[in-house]
Amino acid sequence: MSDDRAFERATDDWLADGSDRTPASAVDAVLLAIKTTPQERDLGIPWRTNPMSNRFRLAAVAVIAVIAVGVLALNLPRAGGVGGPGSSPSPSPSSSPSSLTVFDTRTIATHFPLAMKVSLPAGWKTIDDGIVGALGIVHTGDPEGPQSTWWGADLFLVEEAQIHDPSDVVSNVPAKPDRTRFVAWPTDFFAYIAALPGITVVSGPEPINVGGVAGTQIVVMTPPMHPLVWLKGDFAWMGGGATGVDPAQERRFVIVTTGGHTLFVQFGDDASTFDERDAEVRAILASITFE
Amino acid sequence: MDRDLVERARSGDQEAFADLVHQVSDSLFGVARRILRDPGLAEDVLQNALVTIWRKLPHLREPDRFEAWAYRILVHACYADAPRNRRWAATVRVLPVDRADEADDYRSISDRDELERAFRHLPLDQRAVFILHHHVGLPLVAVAEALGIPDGTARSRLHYATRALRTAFEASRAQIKVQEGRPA
Repeated sequence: MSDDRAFERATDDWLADGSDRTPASAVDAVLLAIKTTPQERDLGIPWRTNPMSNRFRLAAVAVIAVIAVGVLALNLPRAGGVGGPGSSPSPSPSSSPSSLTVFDTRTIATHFPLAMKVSLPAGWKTIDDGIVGALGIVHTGDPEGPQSTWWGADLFLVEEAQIHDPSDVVSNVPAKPDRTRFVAWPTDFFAYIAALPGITVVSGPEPINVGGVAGTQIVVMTPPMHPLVWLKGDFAWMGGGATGVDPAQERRFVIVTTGGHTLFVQFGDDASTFDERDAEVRAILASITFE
Repeated sequence: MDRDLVERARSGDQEAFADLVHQVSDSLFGVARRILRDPGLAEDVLQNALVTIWRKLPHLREPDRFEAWAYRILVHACYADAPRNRRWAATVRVLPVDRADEADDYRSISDRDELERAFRHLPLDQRAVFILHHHVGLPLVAVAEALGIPDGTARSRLHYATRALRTAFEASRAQIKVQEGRPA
């Protein structure tokens, strides 16, 4: 017997070792667990429809103030050119005295290879679905509220992602998972989005600084439309809920290229609450440091 | 995989999901057990993965890709749970009784012990590619797609895993030759 065949036979024997029968208790436990486990909604959908209460507005303002102080403290040394606050690794997640939790993407480097830290105030968390190049930053409330009240931003790494065909993307007809409707990422995303039918540009494209890196942002009003992004290697597009249609929204898009990666951020919400929430999202984005 | 079953489970039908679980659990358990080398830990990971699959099913737009998507969630569950449990991982393997009388028993045991030892030293991402390719039988392109990694990365991980196992196998055979009185 050749060495190759002997090796194959040995590995086959070794791999065949043991039983693959799932213990019945494990299956029972799963079936019991799902009875009380709700299914999740998509990343990329507008999570909330209820208007905020005045009490919540006050809390939100307080949170923004805390974030702003934290961001200022983080960014001042970098602006002064004496090194960055993120130059020494810190445990992740960790809490600072101002109750900001630092999330370090190096903890999910297997599927989010852009090393960066982002500071999240209480009531925010990251959602990591193991989708390559995707990370959700979600306001869940503190204590955490039901998912129907969550809202937040999506962060994608654009590498080889595709974008919805501009001739088909603006539509309120339920979408199908048809990859042929997606085309190569545009050389100028901002020109792409601004040129879509029914889109109104609110501001931009204009510069934005994220973690000391110059990027570009735009704010637009969008009609009902299909999800924009299909990440390479994923089984799904991002957003769109159950029907593959996002409602009319105000949206901010930010693109920053650094460390060999292009970070794409999208935040969308109902126009009536966009400004308030967008301020929180922007404060969190301003806390990003690239490692 | 029954597309209708996946679609029903995706829309919240718990009975449909139970049917799905019965269809895929053995396959997923087999993968987890082989990657983690610990049946107890594999059982925990399988449970976590199946509940995650239930929670995230609405994300799945292509029911035909359910199995590959499920493998991805399972492998990520392995990545997540293995480090926390590493210190308690079982290191004792029970040899199957029905192999005890085979003529080449000694060689077989030696080979498998060397392979086992070498495999346990592999990073989890290399283990996952090796198991999905050699045990599940997925082509490398499908492994890459299931894990959401570039084809070249899957190829590279398989190469390093195979090289390590082959080295271990050759060491086992060399040791046997020495013990049999022949020069290696």
